Order: sequence, then structure tokens, then C-alpha cells
Amino acid sequence: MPVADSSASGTRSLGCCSICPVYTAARRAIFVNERPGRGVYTQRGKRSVTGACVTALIAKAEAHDPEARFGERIAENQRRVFQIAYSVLGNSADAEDAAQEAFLRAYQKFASLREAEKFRPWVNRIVFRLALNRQRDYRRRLARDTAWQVTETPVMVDGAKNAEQVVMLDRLRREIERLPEKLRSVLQLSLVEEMEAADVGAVLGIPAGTVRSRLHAARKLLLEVMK
Amino acid sequence: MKNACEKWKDQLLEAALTGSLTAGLEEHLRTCAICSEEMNNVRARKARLDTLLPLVARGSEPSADFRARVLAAAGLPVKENVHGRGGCGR
Repeated sequence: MPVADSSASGTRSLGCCSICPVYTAARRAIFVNERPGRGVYTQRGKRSVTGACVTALIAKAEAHDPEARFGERIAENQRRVFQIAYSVLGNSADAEDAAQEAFLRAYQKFASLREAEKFRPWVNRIVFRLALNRQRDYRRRLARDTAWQVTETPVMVDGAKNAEQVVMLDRLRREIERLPEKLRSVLQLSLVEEMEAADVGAVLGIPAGTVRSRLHAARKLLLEVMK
Repeated sequence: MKNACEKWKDQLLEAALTGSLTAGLEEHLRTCAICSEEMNNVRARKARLDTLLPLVARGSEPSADFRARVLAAAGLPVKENVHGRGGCGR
């Protein structure tokens, strides 16, 4: 249950319970780090904790526990990483496998990652490459296994609300598959929540302006063919 | 669409995507019933595309135990997410 620091009257909640190691570290730091500009200040003789102080203390506590830190990175990034894989692969089971593999690959070099904010673009790139590789393997296997059949590549579709939408979404996925690769990659990544043009550009190694113009071109092509 | 109207095709798509008509296209639509109807069709397609496109990526979520499974696969102990949105979960 979230509790407020009892030594800091009128302060914000620390968000954790009293036996949490982060909470304990925060309490300890309040006493050793008591001056303005370092997140703790005195107000009318009472101690107070700022948001910046708590953030810094959490980062400090986590630095000594890379396992907890990695668990945190998974929790923060899993939805977006999954959706990147999903946008390429089109079904939950494969997307989850690709997302898991991406995190496991990231974990192998996690200890050497010094700047926490670089984890996000890093894992975005890993999962996108993995998803593309899986898709290529899938197509290759399918072409080999069904060479005797005259059929279109079946596309599994999750997330549609009704039969008509299933058909339309299936068709849309096929049309996306037919887009030129440069446009397709930008479109697939741009459709993921939380992925701004700069994030997409970071994955593909192109400027945000190029992402926007390719996205426009992709939508225009789809508009033309989705009759 | 008549052959004579082919030259407006690209501008119809642009107009549907950007939501704004050029002066030339606006003038043409006033006098051409075929292109006017095509403009309505393209707008309807654009609305359908706007509904469908988000589903390409956002149709699903990772399973609830995803984090635990990744940690287990990495050989790490699965602990409660003490700093997550849910606090300690106690």
C-alpha cells in the first residue's frame, strides 16, 4: 500500500510500502542529503522530498540491482516492443515470441548499457529486426511447403471486431505487404502507439522528416488500392 | 472516372489525406459530377483506412505473464514489480 514518508510532513507519497528497499534507501538519504538543490529541503523546520529526489534515489538503488533494473525495463517497454513485432507479424503468438527473444538478446548486453534512456531505441531496433527475420523465414517455409498449391499467403488476423473487419484487415495486411520496403517499414513502425516520427527514424536510421514523407506516401498508395 | 479527369486523380487522394482542396480541384469538382462522386468515395476509403490501420499494430496486448516469462527465460528470479504503476502490490 502506498505510504507517505512519516518524517516528511506534508510530502508526496513514495509509492512503496515501508519495507521496500527503495523506500528504505529514500528514508536514509533524506537524513544524509539534507540541503536545497539535492532534492531534499527544509520548509518551516520540516523535511520534504521532491520528485527529483525520489527519482534519483530509485535510480541509485537500482544501480546496485541490475536484475531488478532489467525487470523494470521489461515492464516499461513490453507493450511497445510487442506491438512493433505485432505490426510486422500480425498475430499475438509470433509477436510475443519475437518480443521475448528481443528482451533476452537485450539482457545479454544489458550490464554494459550505461545510459538507461538508450534502452528504448535499442530494444526497438532489436525487435524490429527479429520480427522482419521471422517474417522472411515464415514466407520461405510457406513457399517451400505449398509450392504445389496455387494460393495466396494466408495472413492471421487478431484484433478485428467483426467478420467484415476481419476480411478488410486481412486485405489491408496484404496490401501493406505489397508496399515498397522503405514505405512498409515506416508505416508498420508508425502504427505502434508511443512511436513518434523520431522514434521510427531512430529504428530505421533516417530523419524524422523522411519518416513523415514516407508515411504520407504509404497512406496514399493504400488509399489508392483499398477500393 | 473519365479519361479527361485522370489528371485530377492524384489531387483527389491528396485532398482526402490532407483534408484541403486546391483552388483548381475545387473549381473542377463544382462542374464534374463524376469527380465529385469519386471525391466522396476516396473520403469514405480514407475514413475506413483510418479505422483499420491502428488495428494492424494495436489489435492485441502481450499476455499478463509476459514479464515473468522473459525473466524466467533469462534465468532471473521473478519478483514483484516494486516500482511499477501498482507500487509494491502488497
